[in-house]
Amino acid sequence: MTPRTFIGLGVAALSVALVWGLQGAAGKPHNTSRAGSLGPVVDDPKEALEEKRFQDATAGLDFTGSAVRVTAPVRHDRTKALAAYKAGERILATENVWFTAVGNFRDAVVADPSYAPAFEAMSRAFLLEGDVEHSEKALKAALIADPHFDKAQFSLGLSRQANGDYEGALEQWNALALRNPAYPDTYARMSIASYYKHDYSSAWKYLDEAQRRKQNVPPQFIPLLKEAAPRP
Amino acid sequence: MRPNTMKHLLLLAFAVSAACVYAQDPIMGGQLRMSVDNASNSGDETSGSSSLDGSEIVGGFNDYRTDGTIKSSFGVSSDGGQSWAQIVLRPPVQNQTTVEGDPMACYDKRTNTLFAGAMAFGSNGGIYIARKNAGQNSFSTAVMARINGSVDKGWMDAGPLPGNPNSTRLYITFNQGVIRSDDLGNTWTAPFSLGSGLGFLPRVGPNGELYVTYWDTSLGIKFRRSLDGGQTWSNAVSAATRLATWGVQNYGIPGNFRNPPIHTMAVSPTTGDIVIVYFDQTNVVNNQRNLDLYLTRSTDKGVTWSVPARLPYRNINTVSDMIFPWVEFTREGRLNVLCFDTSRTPNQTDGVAAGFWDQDYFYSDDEGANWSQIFRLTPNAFNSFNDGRNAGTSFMGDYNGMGIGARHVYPVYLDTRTNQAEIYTNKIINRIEIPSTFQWLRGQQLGGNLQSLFLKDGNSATAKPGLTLTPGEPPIQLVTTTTGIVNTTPSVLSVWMWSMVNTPNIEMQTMMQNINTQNWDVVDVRPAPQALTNIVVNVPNPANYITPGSGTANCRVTWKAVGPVPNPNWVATVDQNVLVLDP
Repeated sequence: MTPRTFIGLGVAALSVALVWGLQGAAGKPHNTSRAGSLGPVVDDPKEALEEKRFQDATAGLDFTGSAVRVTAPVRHDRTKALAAYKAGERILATENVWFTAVGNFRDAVVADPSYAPAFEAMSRAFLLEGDVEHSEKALKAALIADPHFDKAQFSLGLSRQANGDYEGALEQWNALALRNPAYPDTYARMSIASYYKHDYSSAWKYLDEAQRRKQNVPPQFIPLLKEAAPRP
Repeated sequence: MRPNTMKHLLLLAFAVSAACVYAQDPIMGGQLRMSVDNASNSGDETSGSSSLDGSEIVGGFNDYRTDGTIKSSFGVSSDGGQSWAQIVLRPPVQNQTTVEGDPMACYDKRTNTLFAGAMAFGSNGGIYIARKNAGQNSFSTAVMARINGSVDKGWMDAGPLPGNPNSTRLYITFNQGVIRSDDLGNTWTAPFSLGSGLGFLPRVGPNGELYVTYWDTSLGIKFRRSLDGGQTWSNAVSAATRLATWGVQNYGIPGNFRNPPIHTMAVSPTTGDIVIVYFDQTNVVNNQRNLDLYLTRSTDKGVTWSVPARLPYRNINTVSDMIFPWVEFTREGRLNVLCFDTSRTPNQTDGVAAGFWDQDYFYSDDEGANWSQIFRLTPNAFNSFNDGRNAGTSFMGDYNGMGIGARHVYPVYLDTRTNQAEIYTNKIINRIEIPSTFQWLRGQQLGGNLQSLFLKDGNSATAKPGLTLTPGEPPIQLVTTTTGIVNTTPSVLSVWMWSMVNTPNIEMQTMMQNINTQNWDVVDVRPAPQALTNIVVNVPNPANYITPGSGTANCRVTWKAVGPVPNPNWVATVDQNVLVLDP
């Protein structure tokens, strides 16, 4: 896997500045410093490679907001969007080349920004590189294009949980469960998120609903919940 | 097999039954540095493999060079880890790039060949492979297994084609699928896609079964298999569903390095069972997310999988993490695990820049039902921030590696104690030598599995008295032959047994065949215990009983009545019979 730290790039300058500050205040390196290496951050060739791939694949898109925004001239061509979307899905299904797939999905949303599945697929392409931040922005764009896009909303819940935001995850899954209670595994995920936030009564309630609906509850979860809190 | 004292891990009592028993702990060697080249800033992403006798070892890692490039280096030893060289493995000139890495290694026991490979990232790059030159700290010229600018994260393995033990097929799995070679890596097929996922890891089973596991980048730990050498594949099955998932990001650990939930798999050479070990978020304690290791096992070649079991190395109410497990089986079926661990620096805060970690080793002799104590590999906890890369966030390499050879285990891991990420190993010597044959010389087997006596697995072999040829000859006699013992002059040689009889007044003798006189020397006489008992017989003058060259040792255990026997239907039961050696 090629290291790529888009998330880290923004944090890098802040971290180094903090280290300098701590060193200056204490007169010696803080234990968070890189001993002997408090100079400026040098370019990591892996990160540079992946950054170039990212820039090439996302030209015409803006990721500065909470959701992906198309900045390239829009064509409103659904046929072209579908063709690019299918090409991207083929890359995802066979070759797992994230930047090629993202490029295809970029072409699809530039062709038709209202085509929500292309944004959702773009989110999965980013996940191939483990890039949760940009994946989430693509999911939000998918939900802007289609607020009733169940798959995107379920995935947005997972993304929120990956950021430690259990409340945000539950918010997404609750909305999904209200709209489409039959969507797979929503209640199972709500049970686990509730368990993580120590809301055990809700965890049990959602677990019962998940089991009633024969959802995929990881079997290793149930003993953990029992150990944390007996069934109310 | 003796009960482990578990001095270091009282926590284990929380989850493991009191009746559990453990095998002989290995001899733990100290840290040995593999990255001995001073032209490096840092190393990470490790991979390792070892020859059958453990004398030849390669351990690969990403190598951040002082010239600003990244290359794939291998720590190489041809003398059982006593001395090391660091070799930068490059692809052919026309395929070289400024970013090369993601090392991989494997071993083919039929041809006694070690393979090393890596990826060149760039439009002219791809996957390149070389063979270690036997006995030398060098590699053959690398060849391109795949020329493609989009290759990413691969691993490799080697083994026989199904039904043809005299063949070798090499496999590399990576983001674009699986490729294979039938000429020891000289030429390769085009990729066969394995679907969407990340971290495709191949493992070859004892009869040439090809197994691949990978992460679907969401909640699924997926598994596919091919029983025809990679030509046709099963559909993906779910080996486990994660409790939590995250990306290639920092998640729930002290330190700001990324810890993607990549997992690992191994196949037992004795049972053919498959285990997958992964890390997942168990709970949240004091606002800290706790990541633990989980194991799931398949006893039917990956069709069905057990409920994932949390490895019992943390009191569930304390704050600590285990991540980046790597697992390999040794030939006798011991499951070896290497991982990062914060338990010696407890109560750290998630996400802080400086995380303090150790690298740990532990093992299981029953595919995860019971576990050994933890053996600490790093002398002190290391600060993950001091990786030497000068980047804004630290990088610990995403996974560990391990090489296995004979009784030797070589974990391959990083440690930042020099304020750089350097690559280390330890020589871990499994002290057990498994007999290659077990047979009743006298007596009649009533039940159990004679051929599983290399394991203390409860599957005891039971024999009743049989015909004897001379008066006074013991009517039950078990003979074992052990071959391929590497160290034929050990300081200590023990016969290690679990045994019992069901009546009093039975005498048990242990004999070893003297290589100088060919006589059977009696090395131990005792009343046979009437409950399953661990018997350890220390053999005097070990060199008298191991044939140089072949490394063969013959052992005989006998049972005979030496007084009134109340139970005329008496039997002898044996659950394990192995040799244990110290260097």
